[in-house]
Amino acid sequence: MLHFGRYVAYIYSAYGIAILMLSMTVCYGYCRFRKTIKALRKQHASRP
Amino acid sequence: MWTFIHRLASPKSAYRWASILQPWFMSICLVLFIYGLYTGLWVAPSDYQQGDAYRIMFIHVPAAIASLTLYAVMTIAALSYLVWKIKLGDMLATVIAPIGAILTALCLITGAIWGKPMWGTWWIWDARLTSELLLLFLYLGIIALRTALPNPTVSSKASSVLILVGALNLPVIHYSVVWWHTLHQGASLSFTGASIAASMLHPLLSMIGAIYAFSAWMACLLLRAELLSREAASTWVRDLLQEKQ
Repeated sequence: MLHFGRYVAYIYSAYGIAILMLSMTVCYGYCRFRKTIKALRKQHASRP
Repeated sequence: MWTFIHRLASPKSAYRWASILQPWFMSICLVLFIYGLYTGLWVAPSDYQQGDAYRIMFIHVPAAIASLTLYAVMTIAALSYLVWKIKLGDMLATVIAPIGAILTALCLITGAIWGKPMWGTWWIWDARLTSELLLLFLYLGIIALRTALPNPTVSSKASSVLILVGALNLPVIHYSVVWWHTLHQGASLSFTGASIAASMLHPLLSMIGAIYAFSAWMACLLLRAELLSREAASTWVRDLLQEKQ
């Protein structure tokens, strides 16, 4: 645990929110890419 | 020259370049982020006035800088679509909007968390803060406009116009601390130099690099998905899918 004195809660909150938001963006990006690939495969497979 | 640009901006070529660059940006982002976090939280000394609370700046400032840069890139992309009908410009503008919105929101949230212990308030209707909030609304408006209009050509043109109009907000954000008496401090970093100590500058520059690399990584990933969905009927997408199976 780092010692940030009376600002500890603010620093941990800021970095926690930042890491959460950035990881959620990464998840969104990869999920969207996988979803697109899956949909296209399905679309191409259904074509004669 | 124009032939080269058009060949580079072709969907197939853009997909290939995005696939090559994506892992590089990811690696650069992770390395710089870990280095920036380590030096920012462990190595950099406390500030003599702000104590440790200034460490929030290592995430707030990069998010703020990237939110403005991404909007500037989005403006150039939208302009290239409106003037030269480069489809890649429109796709790039589409994928940059959510990344920019996330970083603007992050900038405002971390700014509020820093503002509470330093200014004694989470929020104030200061020129810098208000213009940055307007930037967030612009990003959200662009995303909403794209999804609201059913005709893709109309939605692309309308959102490109909105992007160009919204670009007027960029100099307002940048010069707000110069034009008005604001609670928000002036710039500590500029092209001519920095007014902060080297031990604090290293983690800041590292985090700025990490956030830029993160934006480029996400833009490559989302651009690949956008290219695939828009070019679904073309032969190169069919060949690519067969290759991946």
